[in-house]
Amino acid sequence: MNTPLDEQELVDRSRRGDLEAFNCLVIAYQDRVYNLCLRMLGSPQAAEDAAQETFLSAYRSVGRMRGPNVRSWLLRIAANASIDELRRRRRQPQLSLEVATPGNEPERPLEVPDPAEGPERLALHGELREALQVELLRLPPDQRLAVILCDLEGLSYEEIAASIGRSIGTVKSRISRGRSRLREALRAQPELFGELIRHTE
Amino acid sequence: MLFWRRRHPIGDQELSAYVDGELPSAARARLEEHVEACAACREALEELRALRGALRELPQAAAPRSFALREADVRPPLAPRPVAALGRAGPLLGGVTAAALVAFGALVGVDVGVLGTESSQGASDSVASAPEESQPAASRGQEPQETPPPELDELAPLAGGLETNEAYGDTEKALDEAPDIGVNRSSPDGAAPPAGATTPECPDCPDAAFTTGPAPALTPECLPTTLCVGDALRVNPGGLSPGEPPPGEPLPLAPTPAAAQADAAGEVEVVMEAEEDGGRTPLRVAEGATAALALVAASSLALVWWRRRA
Repeated sequence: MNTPLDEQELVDRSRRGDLEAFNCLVIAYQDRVYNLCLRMLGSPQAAEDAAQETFLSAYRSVGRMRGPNVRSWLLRIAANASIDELRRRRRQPQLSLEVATPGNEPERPLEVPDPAEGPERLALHGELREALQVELLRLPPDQRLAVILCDLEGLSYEEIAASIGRSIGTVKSRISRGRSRLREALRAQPELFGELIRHTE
Repeated sequence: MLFWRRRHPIGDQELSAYVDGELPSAARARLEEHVEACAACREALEELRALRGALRELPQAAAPRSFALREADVRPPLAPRPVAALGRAGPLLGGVTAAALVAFGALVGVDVGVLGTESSQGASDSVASAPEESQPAASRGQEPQETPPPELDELAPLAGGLETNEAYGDTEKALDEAPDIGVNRSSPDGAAPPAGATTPECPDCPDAAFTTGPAPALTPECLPTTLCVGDALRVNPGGLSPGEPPPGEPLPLAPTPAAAQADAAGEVEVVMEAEEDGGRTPLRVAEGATAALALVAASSLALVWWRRRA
């Protein structure tokens, strides 16, 4: 990972049209960007498109980038690209077969292989993980985004607020409401919920 | 939940922020103190922590391919096409376009405005010309009065019982024309005044008639009285001073067909003018349509430019 100084230099060179420098940023962040899109959209194909769109639009707008934090800047663009895609789906419901809406989600919306998953990581069973991913996709997009940025991307409330252009109070409230929903949803599946609690003990 | 909240000074939001380490120290201390004593909050806190931990352990998906951009992907913004290639000239051109648009709009506006005032002028013209029109008409009407002899001469024989058919027929013709003229040009309210106008003035006719001839012969001759109506109407044709029954207007004693015809000619003139005036409308429509078209074209150009720029 680049140090902030290196990043700033890459950003500056990108602004001058240095594609190679920009692609260094792409390589550094493409996993996070893709992951965010995948968690938001639930479909690998849609996530791939959204990620590509993210970097294209990032390249076009690198001249307007403010602040030193490339990560939240890219994540914001990715979040916008994902939400645009969700809106598009809502406008064209016939294309939304992949969307995991309550009662209408694919059998296995996400099968994210975890190469780092060793025997010791199996405490959280595939079943619970899957349930979490499904419930995450059932959250309203604004809560989903806040929870993803907080718990999956590990951003601080302040960074999230900057990313989504909302106040910290809004961020706090969205995360809390999102988590409450997830908790209620898991409570409805006692064996999974028990596993969740055991997992942390 | 509400019940739970009422009893608890700590809400879900605080607990959630607490597990993220996002509570200010004072609030954190208060929460910790409360949780010590509250089993429900401890449980909620445990669940939140478990959930957060589980979410954080969700596997990070790796990008299925490289999203590095190729030259081909980014050529549009880098080596932009014509409009963007204008570079710094772009905004300038945009400004010029805008200025041209404004100028054009102003021109069209002025034009339309001129036309508008012209038309209203036309209207006031016709208002003005109504008197003018009626002036000649009046003078024409007066002519008979000013030169009563011929008229009277004409009448005299009539009144004198010499019921010349031509005269009568002519009168009839005039009659035929008179209502026509009146009806054509005067609206209902225009028609009203004459009735009032005629009554006081009509005595003139009978007078004239009476003075000139015996009663029996009069009956047909009194028809000119109606002609007076027609005449009164004829002033209205200007139609533009409806509430103004021409009290001052000297009613011809017995307007001759000639006078009526002259009036009719006046009417025709007025009508023709009105038609001419109406003839401008398509012109205005065409001009308006052209302006609208030009506006649409210009704005779409501006839009294209703006989007290219963006």
